[in-house]
Parts: sequence; structure tokens; C-alpha cells
Amino acid sequence: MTSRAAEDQALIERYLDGDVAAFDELMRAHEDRVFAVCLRMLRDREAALDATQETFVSVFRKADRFAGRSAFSTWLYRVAVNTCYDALRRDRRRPTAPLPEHTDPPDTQAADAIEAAGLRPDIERALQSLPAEFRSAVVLADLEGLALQEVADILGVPVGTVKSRIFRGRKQLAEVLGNLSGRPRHPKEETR
Amino acid sequence: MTNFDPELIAAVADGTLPPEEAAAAEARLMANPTARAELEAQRLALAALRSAAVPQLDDMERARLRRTVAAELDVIRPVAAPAPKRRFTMPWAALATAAAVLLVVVAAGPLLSLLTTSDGDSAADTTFLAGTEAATEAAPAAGAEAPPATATAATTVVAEGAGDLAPDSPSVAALEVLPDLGELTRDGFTDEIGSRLALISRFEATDGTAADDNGIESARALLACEQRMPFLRPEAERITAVGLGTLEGEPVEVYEVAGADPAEVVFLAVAAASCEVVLEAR
Repeated sequence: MTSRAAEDQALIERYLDGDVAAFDELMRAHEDRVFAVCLRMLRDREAALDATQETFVSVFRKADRFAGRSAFSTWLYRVAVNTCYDALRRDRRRPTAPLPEHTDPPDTQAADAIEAAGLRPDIERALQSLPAEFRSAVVLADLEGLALQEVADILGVPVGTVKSRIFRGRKQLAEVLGNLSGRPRHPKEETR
Repeated sequence: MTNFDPELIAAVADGTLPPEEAAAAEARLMANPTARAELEAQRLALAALRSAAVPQLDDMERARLRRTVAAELDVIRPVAAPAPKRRFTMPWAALATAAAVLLVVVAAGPLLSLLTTSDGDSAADTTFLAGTEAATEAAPAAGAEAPPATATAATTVVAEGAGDLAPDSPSVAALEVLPDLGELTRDGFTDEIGSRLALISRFEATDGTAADDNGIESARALLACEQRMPFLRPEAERITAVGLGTLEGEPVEVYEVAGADPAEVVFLAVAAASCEVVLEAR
């Protein structure tokens, strides 16, 4: 058990004993990361705040059932991701449309212009273009820096599935960001 | 077409393979145009992701998050330590000793009748209304003129001159120095304040300080601070204007808090020591 996990376990026990300071410490330790995951999943700040709130309320209400078999953070992330999935399903106004199976050749001129202008792609918008299950894998592994096994535990899928989702998510991200290069599909692309 | 392992490509892009294995794998991948393109795509996506700013809660969001979660869980916070308590009580002591006053606007007439006969009062309002009724009996000696019947005129007190409240303003009947009220809870607060007030009116400072977004956010941040009286937190987000003025020589900040009903006015006065008091009349 990592030191963070051990500390969280102790704080949960104190919280269940009515220690308000333990509540504050648990919030302080995890609120930013939970919010970051929710914001990356939902893009909308208010929605992310709502999801963050819902996550913590849900977790604290069930704290007495936390047996410590996994890290508290794993459980917290799992609840956060599921809360975001629920929010995405409810929000019909912001559907997460997956990319079409076929892709047009990348516009290398546009990509060059963006690079020359020093403009950075809208990472958040690109993330939103991913199907939710790809997005969660990429957010947890590549943005939160979690180990593959932990991501698998959070998402409740095998590690192999996590690897596949990460690969496909990054691939779609690259396509959306318009930075694919060297793909020998059209002669024009060879001009780079 | 040579098959390539997506997991291997991802692992090479991640940099998680042992160095020798990574070098060999990359050499194989780079020799295949499709695999090379996939590897480059993985690396570009990773680089873009890792360059993204890390989202963080701002202070207001953090305070709001903790407040709402705590409220949902009925997390009862301990009584404030002596130092924070003084932040609640110091203005009262300062008011008593320095002759500064809390703006207590007493008015009679139609608006008062609106307060005491409002329909649909919640249980939480009953205590205050009982206090206002009691104060009504004490107020008559103040001799205030009845404010105009319109809600707008009746709920506005405009300070004249350099921002000082004109004591003979038609809507100002009495300015009262309040004693040290000690630690306040909502019930204790309404019992104490309610017994001294007949009506709360909106106060506008006219010393030229305009409400701006920074001021409003600052005011909200003050009220959202955990050091403040917990029951004030819901009111924090209703602040719509901040004014600065003086009251008998003492600097005063006044916050206007939006109410949905013209007869519902919320008055918030801040003494120089930054103690916030929110009084709500329905």
C-alpha cells in the first residue's frame, strides 16, 4: 500500500469517527484531481463541479463500506468516471460523437499554419471528440498519469482493453489535432 | 502489409519499455511506413496531452465544493476558535467603543406591512418576522416618515454628500450602536438582531465606488470563507453590488444582494473590520 493510500485509509477511519478535519484533509488531497478528471470528461466547468460534488458525496456516504482492498483514490476515480458517464448520457445537448471510421487526408497546410503561428490545438475540444470510453482511458493514463493496472481497476476492464482504448484514443486525438504526418495514402502528403 | 502490435507502438510512445528493447522496437516500427505513422500519431497525441494545462479549482469553486459537500453530508464544523470568533464580534465591540454604527434602517409604512404580512413565510423566516413585529412596537418613537409606496423608492437609501448617511434621510429613523453579540448562530442572530429592527432597506453608497466584478467576487470570496458564519454562505452568491462609503466617519462596505421579490430585501453591512452580517426580510 502506498503512503497516500495508507494515509487515506486512516483519514477515512477518522472521518467515520466524526473527525471533521479528516473530511477536510480528504477533500484537500483529492478534490483537484477529481475535478480535473471530471472537467476533462465533461469539458463544461459547471458540469464538472457538479460531478465532483456528486462524486465526493457518494464516496463519503459509502465510506463505511470501504474495505481498503484497493486504494481510496482508485475507488474515488471510479465513482468520478461513472458519474461523468452518467452526466454524458443525461446531457443530450452535448453528444459525444465518435469520429467517422474513414478519415480524410490530413490538411498539412493547415497544420503547418497552426504550427507556424505558434497556436496550440484545443486539447480539450479534441478530447471531447473521443468516445467516452476512449476519453476516460486517455484522461486517466495520459493526463492523470495512472498506471495501466489502476486504470483497469478504475474502469473495471482488463488491462488489455485499457491499452487498446488508450491506443485508439490517442490515434483519434492525433487525427483531430491534425498532426498526422507521413501516412502514405495520398501523394500530396509526401510534400512535407 | 506488415502487421504491427498497437500495444507495442503505444509502449514505445510511452517510453515505458526498457531502453534496449525500446530501441529495437522503434527501429522495427520506423521501417514500416504505417507503423511509423501510427507511432508518430501516438507521440504527437501524448505530447499534446501532456502540454495541456492542469485544471484546478479556483478559490471560490473550492469553497463552494466543500461547502455543498459538507452540507449534503451534514458535516458539522466545530465552533470557531477564539481568533476567528473575534472577527465576528470585533465589529460589534468596535461599534460600541468607536461610536461607529451598523446601518440599521428603520422605516414604517407600506413596506413594513409587506414584511409582517407576507404570505408563504418559511419557518426560518418566522423567527425574524417575530423580531420585526417586536421592533415595530419600539420603532414608532423614531419618527420616520413613511417611505414611498413603490418598492424601489422604499428600499433605497441614498447617502448624501461624501457618502455619509444623512441622519435625517427620510428612510433613516434610527442608527443604533449594538453591543458585543458574541458568537452568533442563525437563531441567536435573528433573536438579537430581529429584536432591534423593524425593516431592512437597501443601502447605496454614493462616494463614487462602483460595483465591479472584482469587488463582487471579492465579496463573495469573503462570505464563502470558512471563517464566516456558516449560515451566511448561501447568501454569498447572491451579491450583486458592492459599495463603499462612510458612516459617521467609519468606513463601511455595503453589499447589495439580489432578491427575487421586490418586497424581499437583503441588506449586508460590513464594518471596517470586515465582519459580514446578512439580514433577510421577506
